[in-house]
Amino acid sequence: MSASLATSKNVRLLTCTVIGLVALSACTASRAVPADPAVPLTSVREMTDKEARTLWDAEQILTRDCMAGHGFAYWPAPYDPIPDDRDFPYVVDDPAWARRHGYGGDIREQIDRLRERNPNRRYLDGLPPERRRAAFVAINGEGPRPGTRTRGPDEVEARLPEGGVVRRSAVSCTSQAQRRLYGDLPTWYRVAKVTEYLKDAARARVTRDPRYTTAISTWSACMRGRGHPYGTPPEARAKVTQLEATAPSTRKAREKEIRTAVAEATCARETNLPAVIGVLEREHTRALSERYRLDVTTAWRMRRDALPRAAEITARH
Amino acid sequence: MKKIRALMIGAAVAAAVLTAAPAGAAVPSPQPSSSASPAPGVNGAPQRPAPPNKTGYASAQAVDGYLYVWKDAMWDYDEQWCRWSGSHAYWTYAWSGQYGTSAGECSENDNFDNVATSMWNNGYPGSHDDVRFYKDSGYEGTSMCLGNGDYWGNLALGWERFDDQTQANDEISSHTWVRNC
Repeated sequence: MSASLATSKNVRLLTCTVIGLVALSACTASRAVPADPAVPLTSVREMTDKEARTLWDAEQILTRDCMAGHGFAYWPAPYDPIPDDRDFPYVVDDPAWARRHGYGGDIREQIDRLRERNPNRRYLDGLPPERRRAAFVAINGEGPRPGTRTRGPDEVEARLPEGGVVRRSAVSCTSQAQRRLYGDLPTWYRVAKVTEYLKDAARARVTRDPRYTTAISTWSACMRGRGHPYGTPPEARAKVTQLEATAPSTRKAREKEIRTAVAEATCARETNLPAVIGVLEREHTRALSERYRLDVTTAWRMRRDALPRAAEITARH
Repeated sequence: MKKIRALMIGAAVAAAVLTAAPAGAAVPSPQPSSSASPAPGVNGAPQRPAPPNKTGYASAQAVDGYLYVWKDAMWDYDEQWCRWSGSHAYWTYAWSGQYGTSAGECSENDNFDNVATSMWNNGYPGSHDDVRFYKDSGYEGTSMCLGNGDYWGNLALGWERFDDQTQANDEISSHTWVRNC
């Protein structure tokens, strides 16, 4: 433990030398992460896919090590188990993907099978009840105590921008792994939950933006021209799934799903919808980030500081 | 991050979307999954089988891998509650296996649509272990996400909201497991 701490300090020092201009105060602060006006919002960026993968893999390895310490096995979950598992929160905008998957019903089934085959699930289900209970406590903590309103000393808590309160065990293996990766766990838990929330909130704002509604009208006209008279992408999806309800799993229903999804994606491209969404997403994300800049910059800095540590952990395995 | 929350196909989901129409009078009510076969009551509606032993379920927490939702705040097992190991697209029939990858195990075979006030994700860890809750059935509408091991105590404090700032308390209608919140 002390050896790994020393290592992470060296790593931090190195990181600070490289990115010192951006985050001077991060180098003097030890583990606690107080207000950090030195990190400008403009320096905050999304992790690349490679960076996100490194952080994910490292956390999974640390979780496995923690479970081993409790006498349990844990199989690190792969970062990207279904490569075509893609998120289209607004509209399917990739005709080639739509040609392969329609609206993604087949991927939904792949996810279900993946969850069934999850080696951790098989292992846990095979343990005798007492051991199984202990294994769940090790990985997820004791869970909530019915009737208890205040945070316990063994819990971490995040208050979300709208005031919501979410908690987790501070001693679960998930928490232990994140403590080793990110340092100050209470701060990490808070900023991780807040930034997750902000991502969703930005999406909700985009879909309520009048410019989005206008762009969707143009898209809808294109759809109508192609024989798919739907007002919005969710409406198109709902109509297709209705058809499949009356004729489940038939080739005809599947063909209709793919035809509709391909038209959706083609019309999205033709009406420049992805570009409009891109602009709106950047705008609303920026506005929300300004408002919650301390949490946003802190989350970014903690991720960045964890990267060298994560790379070291994944390189060892 | 990759999720396909916008994408849902399949007979079960489709049925949910169908039945979610406002004129839902013609909704085919699924048979409760309990072994007790419900006999028609005097008015033709099926009688509910006796609620399962709550103590039995509560102690079954020990063997886990479930998402738990409660009607009341602070995880109150004395009131209505449900749990699922898989997804469920139509909480009106929470106990039915017809609308997702798992039947709900519930304190009673009663409507759980627009009821949930507290919840806990104690699902199997690993792939797709986070839960996304949706305002509408069929995994549609605004949503909120609960990480593996996380819990909310009270959606009714006037605090917790869906991501579009509408109230989440007594509004959730479906849920699915996602790779990452």
